Amino acid sequence: MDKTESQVMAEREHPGSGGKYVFALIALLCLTALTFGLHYVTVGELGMIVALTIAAVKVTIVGLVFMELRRSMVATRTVAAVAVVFVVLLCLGVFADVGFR
Amino acid sequence: MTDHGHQGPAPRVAIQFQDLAKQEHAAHFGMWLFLGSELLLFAGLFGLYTAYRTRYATAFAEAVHHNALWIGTTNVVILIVSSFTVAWAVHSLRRDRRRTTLWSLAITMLLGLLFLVFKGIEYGIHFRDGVFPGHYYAYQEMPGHGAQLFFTLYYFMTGLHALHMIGGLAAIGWVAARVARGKTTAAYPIPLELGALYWHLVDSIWIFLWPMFYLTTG
Repeated sequence: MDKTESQVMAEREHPGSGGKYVFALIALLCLTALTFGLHYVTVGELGMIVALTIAAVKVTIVGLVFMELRRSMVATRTVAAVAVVFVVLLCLGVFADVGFR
Repeated sequence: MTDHGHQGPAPRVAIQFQDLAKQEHAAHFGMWLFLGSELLLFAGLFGLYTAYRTRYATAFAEAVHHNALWIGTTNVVILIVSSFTVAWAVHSLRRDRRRTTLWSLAITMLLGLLFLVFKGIEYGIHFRDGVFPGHYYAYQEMPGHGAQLFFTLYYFMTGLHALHMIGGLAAIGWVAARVARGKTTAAYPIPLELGALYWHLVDSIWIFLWPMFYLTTG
C-alpha cells in the first residue's frame, strides 16, 4: 500500500510513544536471562532446540518492533520472511541429509 | 545545541519517483533486499554449522565449554541494548530531538566498540591456547577433527560478524555526522533509518551465534 506524501509527513509529526521500544528491550533482556538460566537445565538436543527457539522469538521482537516490520509494506515483509524461510529450509535440509543418511 | 533541532530544508524527490512516499518506500525496500542477501551470506555458514554439529555432536558440545561464556553473554546484552539505543535515535530524530539522537548514536557506537573489545579479548585467550582456525589448530587438550571444525566455524562466523559490526559502526558514525551537521533531519530521517536497520541485522545474527557457540553444551 503506497502512502501519500502528506501521510508520510503526518506520521513524522506524530511518531507515537517510545514505550514500545522500552518494552521490547525489557522483553529481550528477560528472554536472554531465560536462555542463560535454561542452558544449565536443558542439555543436548533439547538444550539446542530451546535456545534456538528463544533466539527466534527474540529476533522476531527485534524485527517487528525495532525494525518496524509491523508497520511495513507487505512487499517489505515478504522479502524479510522469504529470506528467513530460505535459511530455515537450508538448515533443515542439511540436518535431514547429514542426520539421517 | 538545543534538543530540538530544525526540520531542515524540504527533502528532494528524485526525478524517478512520483512523490516522497514512494521514494522512502523504495529506500526501505532496497535496504530490506540488501539485508536479505546479507542473511543468505550467513546462511551458508549456518548450513555448514548444522552439518558439522550433526556429524560431530559430541566434539561440538565439548568445544563450546572452551569459549568464554561471560564474554558471549556480555556481548549479547551489549548488542541488545545497542539495538534499543539506535531505535531510540530514530525515534528521537522523528520527534526532531537532535541532541537526544546524537547521544543515542554515541552510546550505540560506544557499545559497538565495547563488543569488539570483548571479542578481541576472547580471540586473545584462544590464540594463547593455540586455538587457531583450519590447519593452524594446535589446542592439545581438545584434539580431533570435530573440535578443529568447531573453532574454524567459530572464527569464520564471529569474524564475519565482527566485520559487519565494523561496517555498522562506520554507517552509524557517518549518519551521526550528518545529523550533527543538520543534513539528516526530522524532515528526511531515511539515512538514519537505513543505518539502524543494518545495525539491527547485526544484532539479530549475534542473538543466534550466542547459543550456537556459547550455550549448547552436551
